[in-house]
Amino acid sequence: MSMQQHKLQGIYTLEGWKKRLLLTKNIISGQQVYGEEIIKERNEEFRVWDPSKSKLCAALMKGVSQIGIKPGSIVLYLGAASGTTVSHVSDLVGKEGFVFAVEFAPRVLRELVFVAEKRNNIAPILADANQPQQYYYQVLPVDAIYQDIAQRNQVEIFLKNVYLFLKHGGFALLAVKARSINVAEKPKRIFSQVRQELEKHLTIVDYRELEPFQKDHCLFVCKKR
Amino acid sequence: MEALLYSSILGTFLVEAKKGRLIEKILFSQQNVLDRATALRQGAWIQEEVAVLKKYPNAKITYLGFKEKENIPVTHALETLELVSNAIQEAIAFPPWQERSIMITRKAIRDAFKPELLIIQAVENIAELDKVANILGKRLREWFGYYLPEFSLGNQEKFVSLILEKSKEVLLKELKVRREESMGAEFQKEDVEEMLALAKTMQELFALRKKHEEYLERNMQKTMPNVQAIAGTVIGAKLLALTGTLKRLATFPASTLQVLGAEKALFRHLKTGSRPPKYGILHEHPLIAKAKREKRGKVARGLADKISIAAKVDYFKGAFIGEKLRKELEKKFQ
Repeated sequence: MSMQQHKLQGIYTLEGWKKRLLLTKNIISGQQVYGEEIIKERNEEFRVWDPSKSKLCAALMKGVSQIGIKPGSIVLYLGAASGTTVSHVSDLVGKEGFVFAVEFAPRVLRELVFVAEKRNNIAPILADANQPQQYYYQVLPVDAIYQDIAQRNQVEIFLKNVYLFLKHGGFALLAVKARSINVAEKPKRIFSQVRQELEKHLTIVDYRELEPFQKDHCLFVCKKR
Repeated sequence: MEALLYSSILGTFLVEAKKGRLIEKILFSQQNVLDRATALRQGAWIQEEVAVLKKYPNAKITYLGFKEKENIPVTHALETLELVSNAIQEAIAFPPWQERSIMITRKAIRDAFKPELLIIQAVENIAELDKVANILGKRLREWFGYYLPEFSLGNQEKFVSLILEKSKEVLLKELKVRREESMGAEFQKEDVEEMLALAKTMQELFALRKKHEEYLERNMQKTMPNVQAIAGTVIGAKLLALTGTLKRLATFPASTLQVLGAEKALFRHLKTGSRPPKYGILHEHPLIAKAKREKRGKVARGLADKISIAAKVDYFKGAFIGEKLRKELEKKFQ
């Protein structure tokens, strides 16, 4: 077993017996966020990133070529929940970067506030991502947007935020949950509808379905023209 | 001069529109920030913005952001936001930005609390207490079976209170079983006490459940009297637990309320075209339980309609019409 730099900056891999792990460098030594495994190597600490808990990690495991989030990036994260994936994004952008984390449910955001207090690169925001005017004064222009919201109009929400906050040439990542757009439709068809909608406004760089880590999910990596 | 007016959680800024030079900045004090953030979120004009507008009466000012009442032009163009945030870079360092965000979010989470959330906690705990009492009850009966297997009772609560109340002698006498005939073994005093300690704990659980029910009754009376009158305390509370907030309960269509709690059957219906569910959690309601099988769907529809009306009245704090709605329903279906 040996730790290696992933082809994308800020991400590390550990080849194990049969299993390959993805990790991020822990910016707060000795602090776990959600009970994940911590691996130490040469005075540095790495947190294991679980693809069954994080769609972004699942996409990386499926070999996505680019995510546009790297050390120093300013990121808008929509649908932050209790901060599982956010904590890894926070590791990834490091101390030079920053994450605006928007979440609608007070109950789960509570956990994220505790995470944000320890890490000084996350700003938690309680607001409805569908109404960016609620947090317009709390977010600055960003290098990347990541959205994971299980809403029927998730594409519309995504495009609204991309329009308002994403710098030109910046990356926009959308995790699509087919089941929350339409339960009766076949996931493949929903994904292709989403693709058509996105292509009107953005350039699609990469696309991955997240089986077997997440059922009926996919991730679009887009770039703002 | 053309200029851009912009407020963030740190302060209000005026930036020259062409060259992006910072003309004016008024930072919020630590005490003011929560007030200002709330006002900005609602799209109200704050005093700092008004002061800047007054100070530069001759400038052509465009507001960068969202405002409820617009008396000056407004923009949300990304290029403008970039220009402004570059201009005020010294004032928007990330550490204070994060600190302010956390402050604002802490307050927002505190404010998001609603009294009906307590109803949900209570009704969910009642369900959990039932589950726990069942598990413990099974164990207690197993345990007691070595001691006095002849004594058994369907009702969990009665069983527990009787074995606590009456000694083995009394119970044997009541069952008309002689000690030598019983299949139960003789227990040491300590062994009996250990077993009865479990029974005692169960009795306390039953008491807690009762207390929760009374609490629920009172609390529902205050927050959602109309829904309570039609659906009943427990079903009303369960409907609330399934929707999450009174607002959601009030805004859901009656057809959704009708099948709440039958999601599995509903989605199976949508996916495969199997028969749709007639009712979810409402099946516990006495009107439906009493109705004939073939009438149940119809009753569920009517019931859901009335609950939906009641929830809307409760949410907007209207008058008490629950009794009237319930009478209408009963008249129709009896």
